[in-house]
Amino acid sequence: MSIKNRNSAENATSLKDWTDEDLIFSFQQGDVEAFNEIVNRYKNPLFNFVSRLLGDPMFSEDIVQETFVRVYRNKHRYHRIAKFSTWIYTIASNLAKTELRRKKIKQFFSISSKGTEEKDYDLPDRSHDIERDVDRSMKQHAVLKEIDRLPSPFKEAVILRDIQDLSYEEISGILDVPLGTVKSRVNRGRARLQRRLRFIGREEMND
Amino acid sequence: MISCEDFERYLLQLHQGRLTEELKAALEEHRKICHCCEDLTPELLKIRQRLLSLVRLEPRPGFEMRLVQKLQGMSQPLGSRNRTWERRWVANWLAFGVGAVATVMIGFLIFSHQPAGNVNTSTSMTAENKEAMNTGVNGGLLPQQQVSPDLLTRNRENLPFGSLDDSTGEFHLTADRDTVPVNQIPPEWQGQVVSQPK
Repeated sequence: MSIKNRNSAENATSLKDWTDEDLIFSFQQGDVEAFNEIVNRYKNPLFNFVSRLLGDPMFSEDIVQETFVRVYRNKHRYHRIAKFSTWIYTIASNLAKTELRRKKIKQFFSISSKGTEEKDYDLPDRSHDIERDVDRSMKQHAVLKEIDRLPSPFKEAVILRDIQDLSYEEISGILDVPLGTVKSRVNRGRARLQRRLRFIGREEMND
Repeated sequence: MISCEDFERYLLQLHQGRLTEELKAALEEHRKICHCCEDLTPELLKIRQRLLSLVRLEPRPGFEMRLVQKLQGMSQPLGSRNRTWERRWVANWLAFGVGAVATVMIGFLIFSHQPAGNVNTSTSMTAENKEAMNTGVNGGLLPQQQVSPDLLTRNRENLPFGSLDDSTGEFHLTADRDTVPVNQIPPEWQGQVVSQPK
């Protein structure tokens, strides 16, 4: 069956079961539906990753969009030797770092500063009472602030491992550093966070 | 042999008291051979748990639509994209030209209001002038410099070695400058000098 001629309803159901690598391969053959599925799969994880790295959702959307544009334009540059997730995260990471360097927004925007725009990105959670929400929000604010204070290599490694939940192997590919270096950065980043977040209730940490 | 990711997961489960003996053994085995994990403690992994539970940020609704627009913009016919580039190029050069003309005009206006002669000011004073001023020679003015006739009246507050009496129009040398020979005073000033202090 030709990829281009597949029935769209059948396509929609089957594409969800495909691996990332199958999708990009199909897109390389001209199947635009496969690209749509890639966007659907990666828009949220990439947005979360870039937002945590940059600390600004407005910039993050531009970076994530540019990431997909690069994938679209350079689809033939992907080869199956690497995981697709590694490739797309590498593109997003490089774009985000370039943006950080170019505009130096790191100095002006805090990862934890929640402007009016950022509130639009938070998922509404009305299942708890207000007091508990405030408490949770303050603790989250403190955690994000401390992540933002981490040195850049630790910050990136911790975000990829402990926020994006990627494997060490994938992170090693994205950051282009040896596996041992990644583990070391993650653990050192965690240790710094642990030291700085001691003031958050011990009972909370021991849950 | 378990992976580092598994080790982290099992270590937390061990801390929570829900790990089989078999996995405990695997955990210990991994700890012995992996120097990256040997120092990992359940306390450190609490940080990981906390980070994993952070709110996940998502793009605003309509992300796909905005992406499609971006991709469509990218695939515009080459001619129209070039025209856009040309328009930007012309606009940039136009702005540069206007800026340059404005700078020249402002510069012209500023310099056209300068006095004909050189006036010793803090910004325009050369090292040579400063030396002359410090030694009191020629009132800080170099021999080749011209002094405009209205210099005295315009700069009566900062006269180099004397002061002008408004009521009489007389120029008086100051006491500490009385060693300056009169013939070294600029010729335009000499007519106004009526006395030297004793």
